[in-house]
Amino acid sequence: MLTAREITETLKTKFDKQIIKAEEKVSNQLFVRVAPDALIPVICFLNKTFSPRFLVNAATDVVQQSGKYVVSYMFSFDREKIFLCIQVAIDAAKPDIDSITPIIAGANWSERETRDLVGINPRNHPDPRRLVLADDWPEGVYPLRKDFPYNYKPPSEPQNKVPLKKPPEGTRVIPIGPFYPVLEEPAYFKLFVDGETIVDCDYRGFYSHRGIEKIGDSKLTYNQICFMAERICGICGFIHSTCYCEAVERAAGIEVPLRAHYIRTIMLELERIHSHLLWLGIAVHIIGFDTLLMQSWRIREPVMWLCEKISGNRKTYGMNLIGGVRRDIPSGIYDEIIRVIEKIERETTEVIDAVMGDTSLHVRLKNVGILTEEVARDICTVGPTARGSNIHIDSRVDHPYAAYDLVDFEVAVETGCDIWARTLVRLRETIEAIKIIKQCLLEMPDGPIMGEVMEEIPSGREAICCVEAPRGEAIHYVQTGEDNRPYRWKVRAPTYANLQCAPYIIKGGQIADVPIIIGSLDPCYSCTERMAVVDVRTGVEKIYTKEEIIKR
Amino acid sequence: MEIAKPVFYLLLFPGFLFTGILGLFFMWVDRKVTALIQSRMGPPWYQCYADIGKLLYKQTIIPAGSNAFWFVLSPLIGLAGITIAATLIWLENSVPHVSFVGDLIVLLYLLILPSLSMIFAGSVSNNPFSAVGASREMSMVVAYELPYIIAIFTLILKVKSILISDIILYQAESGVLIGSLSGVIAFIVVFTCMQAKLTYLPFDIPEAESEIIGGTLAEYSGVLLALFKLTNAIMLVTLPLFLITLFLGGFNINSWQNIVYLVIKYVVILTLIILVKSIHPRLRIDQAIKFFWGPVTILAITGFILALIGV
Amino acid sequence: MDIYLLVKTVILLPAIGGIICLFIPNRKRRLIEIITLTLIIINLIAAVNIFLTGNQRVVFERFPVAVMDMQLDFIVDALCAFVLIGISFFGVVIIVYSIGWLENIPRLKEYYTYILFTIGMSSGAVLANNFIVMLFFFGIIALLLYLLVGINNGDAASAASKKTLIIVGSTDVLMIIGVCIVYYLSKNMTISEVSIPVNGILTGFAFIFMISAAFAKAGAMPFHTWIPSIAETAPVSVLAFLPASLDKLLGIYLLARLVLNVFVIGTKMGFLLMFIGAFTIVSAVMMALVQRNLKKLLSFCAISQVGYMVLGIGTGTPIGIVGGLFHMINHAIYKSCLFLCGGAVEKETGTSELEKLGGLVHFMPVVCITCTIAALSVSGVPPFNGFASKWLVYQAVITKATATTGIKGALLWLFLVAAMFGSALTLASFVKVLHSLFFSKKPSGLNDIKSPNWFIKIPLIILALLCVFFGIFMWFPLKVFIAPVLGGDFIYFDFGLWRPVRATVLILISLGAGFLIYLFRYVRTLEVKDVFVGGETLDEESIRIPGTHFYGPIKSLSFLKGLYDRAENGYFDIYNIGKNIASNISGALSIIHTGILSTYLLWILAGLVVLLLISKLAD
Repeated sequence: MLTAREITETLKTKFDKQIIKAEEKVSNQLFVRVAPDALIPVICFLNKTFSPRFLVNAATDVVQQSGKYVVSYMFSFDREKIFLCIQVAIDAAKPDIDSITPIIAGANWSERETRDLVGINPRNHPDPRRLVLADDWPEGVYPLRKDFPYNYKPPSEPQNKVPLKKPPEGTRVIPIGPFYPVLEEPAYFKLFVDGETIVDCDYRGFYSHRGIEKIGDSKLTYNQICFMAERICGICGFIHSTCYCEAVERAAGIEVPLRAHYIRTIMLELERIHSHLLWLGIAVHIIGFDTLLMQSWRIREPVMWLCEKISGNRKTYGMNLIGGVRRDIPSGIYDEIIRVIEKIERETTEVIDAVMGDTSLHVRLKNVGILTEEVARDICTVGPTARGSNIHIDSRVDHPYAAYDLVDFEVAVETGCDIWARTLVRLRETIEAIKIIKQCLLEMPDGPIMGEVMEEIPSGREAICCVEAPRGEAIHYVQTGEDNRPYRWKVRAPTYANLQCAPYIIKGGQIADVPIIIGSLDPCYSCTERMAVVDVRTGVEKIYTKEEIIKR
Repeated sequence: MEIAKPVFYLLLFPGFLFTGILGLFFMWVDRKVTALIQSRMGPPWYQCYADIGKLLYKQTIIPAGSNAFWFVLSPLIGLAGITIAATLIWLENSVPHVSFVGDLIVLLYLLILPSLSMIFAGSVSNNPFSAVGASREMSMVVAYELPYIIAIFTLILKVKSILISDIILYQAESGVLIGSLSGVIAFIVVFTCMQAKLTYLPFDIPEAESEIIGGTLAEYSGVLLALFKLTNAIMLVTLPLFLITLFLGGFNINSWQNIVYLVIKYVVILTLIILVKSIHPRLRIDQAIKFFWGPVTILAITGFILALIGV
Repeated sequence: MDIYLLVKTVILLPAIGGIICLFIPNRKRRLIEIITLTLIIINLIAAVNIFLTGNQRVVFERFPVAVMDMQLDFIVDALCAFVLIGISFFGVVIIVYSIGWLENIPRLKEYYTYILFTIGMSSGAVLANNFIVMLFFFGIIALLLYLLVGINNGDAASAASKKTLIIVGSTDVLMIIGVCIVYYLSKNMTISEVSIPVNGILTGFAFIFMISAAFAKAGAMPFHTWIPSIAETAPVSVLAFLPASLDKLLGIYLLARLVLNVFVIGTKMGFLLMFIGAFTIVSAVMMALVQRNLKKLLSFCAISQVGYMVLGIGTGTPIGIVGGLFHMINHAIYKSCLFLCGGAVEKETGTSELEKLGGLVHFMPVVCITCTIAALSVSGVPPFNGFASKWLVYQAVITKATATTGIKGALLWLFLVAAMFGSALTLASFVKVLHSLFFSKKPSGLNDIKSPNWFIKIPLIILALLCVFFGIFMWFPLKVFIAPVLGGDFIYFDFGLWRPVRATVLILISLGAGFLIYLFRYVRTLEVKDVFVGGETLDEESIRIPGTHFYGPIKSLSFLKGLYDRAENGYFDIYNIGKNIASNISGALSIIHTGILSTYLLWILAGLVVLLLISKLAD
C-alpha cells in the first residue's frame, strides 16, 4: 500500500528541484509545493503513475504576505486513504497558470471558478467562459481577493452576459429553466433539438451564488461558520457542517470524543435516509408517477419528526461545534429511534419490491441517461452517480471520518450505468443507513460530547476533509488564520462535480428524458452555488450580516 | 320550431350544461380517489366547480406573436365537438329513432375534435413547448387510432351494422358484447385508447407538466383554460358512456333501476381509469407509439380474428 | 339550344381560343387574359347547358372517318355531363387565379394556350362515345400535360415532364392495346354499346390495361410517381389544375366509365381495385407525413385521396360508386384550394420549404382561413365535404364487408382499417402544414409579406365556400349531380339528427355559446404578454419550432425507417424500375452492336435462316 512518504520520494526523485516543499501536515494529507512551470509535468506524471482522483482546486490570496496567489489542486488516493494537495504559488502581478483541463477533464469548472473569483487565468482552457459570477458583474473585479470587501456591490455591467452556444443547423432551442416546474432551483439547460432528439446542449448555472466562502473568509469565527455551513444546502446541511468541523479539527489537532463521533454518524445517516427518500419522490414525480411520490414522502415524514425530537429542528440541526457536538442523544430516545427506522426499513423494502418489478418504470429508467464508466472517471463524478457506473468510491470507506471506521456496512455499487442503476444504489444505501444507525446506537459509549479546544486555534495550518453526502462527496478545505478565524475556507459540493457530466448524458437523448436525467444526478444547486439572499418583500438585495444569519 | 328541441338537448339537458356539471363532479371523484390511493385527504366536493369558477374571472392573456382569433377559437372547436358527441350518445341511448346510418362513424370523427383543438392550441401559442406538445398530441392520435379502429370494427363485425341503435339492440338480444372473448379483447383495446384520448397517465404525454411545462396548454389561462378543462370534464363522462353503449349494452334513463345500473357501470369504468392512472408513470412519446402500434394493435387484430371465426 | 352546337362549342371554342392566343405576343398579357377568361366563361355556360339538356347521343354524321365504321360519336349522359361542368369550372378557377398569380414567364402565351387546349380536349375526351375518338383526345391531353408541366425552363423541369410523358404515355399505349382487345371481343367501337364481362385472361388483361391509363392520370399507385416529381418544378397553378383536379376528373371518369359501362366486373376485379385503393391511401399518406416541401406533401396527399375514389368505385355498390364520384369532385375542390393556397404563399414569400415558413396567419388571414377549411376537408372532419364523401365510402365498404365471409371479408375489413387510418394520418400531415405555414412563429428571415391580390383570393374563397356548402348541404350535389349517374339505384335517405344543416346550426350555436362566455364583464380584457420560455432571453429564430420537427418518433421507428429511406431514393418508383430495366436491356443489346461489318452480316444471315425455317414449318 502506497504511503504518503513513498509518494513524496517518487515525486522528489522525478522532479528534484521543482518540488519546493512537501510535508504531511496532517496524518495522511500530503501538501506538496511545486514550481509553476512544473505543474503540468507533475500532473501528467501523477496521472500516469498513480492515477489519483481529482477533487477540486482552490485559489488563496496571500498577496499581503508574499505577493502571490496560491492555487491548490487536491487529489484523492482512494484505496490508500491519502489526500494529496499540489500547491502552486504564482505572481500576483501576472496571475497566469497552465490549465490542467486538457489532462483532467473534471477540472473544467474548478479552473473557471478560480478565474472568476480570484482572477487566475488558465492558459489553454478549452472553454474559458464565465461560470460563477452574474451576467452583469464587471470584468476585472474578483470577489475572493482579500482586497475586495465582503459587502461591496460593484456597478452593473449587463454586456458581460455569458455567450451560450448557438444552435447547430436545422435544430431549435428548447430551454429548460431557469424557471421550470421540476427544477427546484434555477439552472438553465439550453437544449438544441431536432424534433424530439437532442443534438447538443449548453448549461448556465450559478443563478443563486451566495458568496458564502467570502463571508467565511472575512467575518465569521470558527464556531459561527459551523452554522453557516449548515445552511449551504436545503437537504444535506449537517454534512457540510460536519465536514467543516472535521477539517478544522484535523488542521488544529483537536481531539473529538468518541461519543461525539457516534452522534455525528447517527445524524449523518438520518440525513441520508431522508434525502434519498426525498429524491425518490421527486424522481418519480418527474416521470409522472405521483402515487410513489406521495408514498415515499409519507414514509420519510417520521424521520423528520425524529430529527426534530432529537435536535429541535426538522432539518437544520445546529448540533455541530468545533471539537464535538452541543446536543446529546439521551438514551431514553434510543427505543423510539429504533422503532422509527425499523418501520422505515419495512416500508422502504415494500416500496423497493414494488418498484423492482414495475415494467413501466423500467421502460422510463432503464437504458436511459447512460453515463459510461470512462466518462464518469474522466469527469470525476462522485456519489451514487459514479457508483451507478461501477466506480467504487465512498468517502465513508476511503477517507473515514466520524465513527465510520468503527461500523460495518456495504457500499452499494451497480454496473448498469443508467438511471435505474443510480436508483438502486440510492435505495440500497437507505437500507444500509438504517443498519449503521442501529450499530451506532448499540455501540455508542458514554462520555463527554465535546472535546478540549484551545483558546486560540494556531494559524497557518491547513486540512482537507471529505464527507459522503447523499449526493456524493463533499469537500471542505480550511486554512487557519490570524484572530481565531479561518484564512481560507473552500467548499466543493458533490453536485459541482456531477453537473459537469450532464451534457454528456443528455446528448443524443430525447427531450422527455432530460428532466429525469438531471433528476437522477440528484442535483442540489444551492450546495453548488452558495448564493446571495434577496429580501423579496422590499426587493432589496443585501448580504446578511453575521448576526442575522447566526440568530439562534 | 323543429330546431328548438335539438338546441335544448344540446345546450341544457343532456348536453353541455348537464354533462358539464356531471363531468366536473366525476373529476372530483377522480381526484378524491387518487388522493386516497396516495394516502392523502384530497379536495372537498366542490373543488372542480371552484376551479372553473376561479378561472372564469381571471384575466385572459394572449401570448405575444400569436393570432388572437385562432388562439380564442381553439378551445371552442373541442368543446363544440365533444358537446355534440355527448348529446348524441345520451340521446341514442334514451330516445328512440335518433340513430341514423353511419352515426358510429360520425361519433368517431367527432371524438377526434377535442384532440384537434389541443393541437391547434399548441400550434398557435407561439411557444416552443406548445409546439412540441402539439406534435406529441398528433403523434398520439395517429398512434392510438389504428388499434381503436380495428377494435371498433370487431364490434361492427359481430353486430353486422353500423347503427348504434342496432348495436344496443344486438346486445339486448344476444347478451352484452363484452361477454364474448373477442368482445373482451376489443373492450381492453378501446379502453386503452380511451385512456390516451383522455390524456390521462400513462399517456398524458402532450400535457406533461414536468417535461414541457404544460405542453399544449402552456400559454392558456383564464376563460380559455376553463373551456379546456370543461372539455376534459365532458370527455370524462362521454367516453365511458360510449364504452358502455358499445360493450356493456347501452343504458336507459327511464326508470330508477336503469339509472342505478348506469351509475354502477359508469363507476366501474371510472374506477378502472383511476387505477390505471395511479399505478403507471408517464411514457415517452416514442414508447407510446411503439406500444400502440405493437402490442395493442396485435391484441386488436387477435380480437378481430376471433370475432371473424365467431368466438 | 342545339346540342350539336353546344358540343362543338365545348370542344372547339377553347381550342380555337388557344390557337388565337398563340399569335398574341407575350407583352399583351392583358389581352390574352381577357380572351381566355371570356372563352372559358362561355365554355362554362355551354357545359351547364349541356348538363341541363339531359341524356342523349350526339353523332356528327357529317364527319365520318371511313375506318372501322368510326364516327365522331359523342354522348351526353349524367356521368360525363357533370364531369364536364367540373372541367369548365376548374378551368375558370385556374384562369382567374393565373391572372393574379402568374409571373411573366417567358412562355406565358403558351401557358394559356395549353390550358385552353387542355380544357377543350378534355371536354372531348369526356364526351366521346367512340374508343378511337377518346384515344385521340387522351393522346393530345397527354402531350399537353407534358408541355404544361414543363412550362418552366430548366433541367429539372424537363426531366420531370419527360417522366410524366413516359408514364402517362405508356399507359395510354396500354389502353390502346386494351381497346384493341375490346374491339376484338365485341367488334364494336362505340362505348355506350359495349359491355364485356370480365371473366377470363383476355378480358382481364383488357380491363387492367385500360384502368392503368385511368390510374396513371388520376395518380393511383403504381403509376403515381410523376406527380411528386413535377411537384417541385411545375408552377403551382398547373399543379392545381392538372394533377389536383383535371386529371383526377379525367382518370376517375375513365375508371367509372369502364367499371359501369364498358366492363362488367366480378368480385375479383372489384377486389383488385379495392386493394389498390387501400394500399394507395396508406402508403401515399405515410410518404406525405415526412415531406419537407409543401408542394410535394400536397401531391402525395392527392395520390392518397385517389385511393378513396378507387376504393369506393371498386365496391361496385351504389353507395360506393356514389361515394367515389362524390369524393372525386370534393377532392378536386379542396385539393386545388390547397395547391392554390400554397401558390399564394409561395408567391408572397418566395419559398415553399416548410422549414422556412411560418407565422403567415398575421399576414394572410384569408389564405389562412381557406387553407384551414380545405385542410379540415381533406382530413375528413365533419361538417366539411371531405367527411361527407368519405362517410359514404366507409358505409359502402362496411356493408360489403359485413356481407362477405372468409378471407375476402377479412381483407375487406383490412381495407377499411387502411382507409380510416389513412384519414388520421392525413390529419397529421395537414396539422404539420398548417402549423408550418400559418400558426408557428414567423421566421426572422421572412419580412414584408403582403396579402395576395384579389385574383388570387377569389378562387380560394369560392373553393372554400364550396367545401363548406358541399359538406353541409351534401344532398344537393348528390341528388343533382351524382345520383343520376346510377339512374335511380341510389336512394337518398334521411340522416336523422345528423341532417347536416341541423348539425351545422348546432355547431354554430355551440361556438356562439362559447363566445357568449366572453361577454362576462371580467373576462373581456385580453392582454398580450410575452411567451413563457423559462425566463432567459432567447433569440426568436432559435425557439421557432417549424413543422418539419413534427413526428420525429414516427419517422425513426425502426421498421419504417428503412422503407422511408428507400422510398426517398426512388427505390419503389416504377419509372425508375422501368428505366433500369430498359437500360439493362439496351445495355445487353448494345453488346451486339460491335460496329464490325462482318458481324452484322452474320446476324442477317442467321436471321434469314431462321425465317426460312419458320416459313418452312408453317407450310
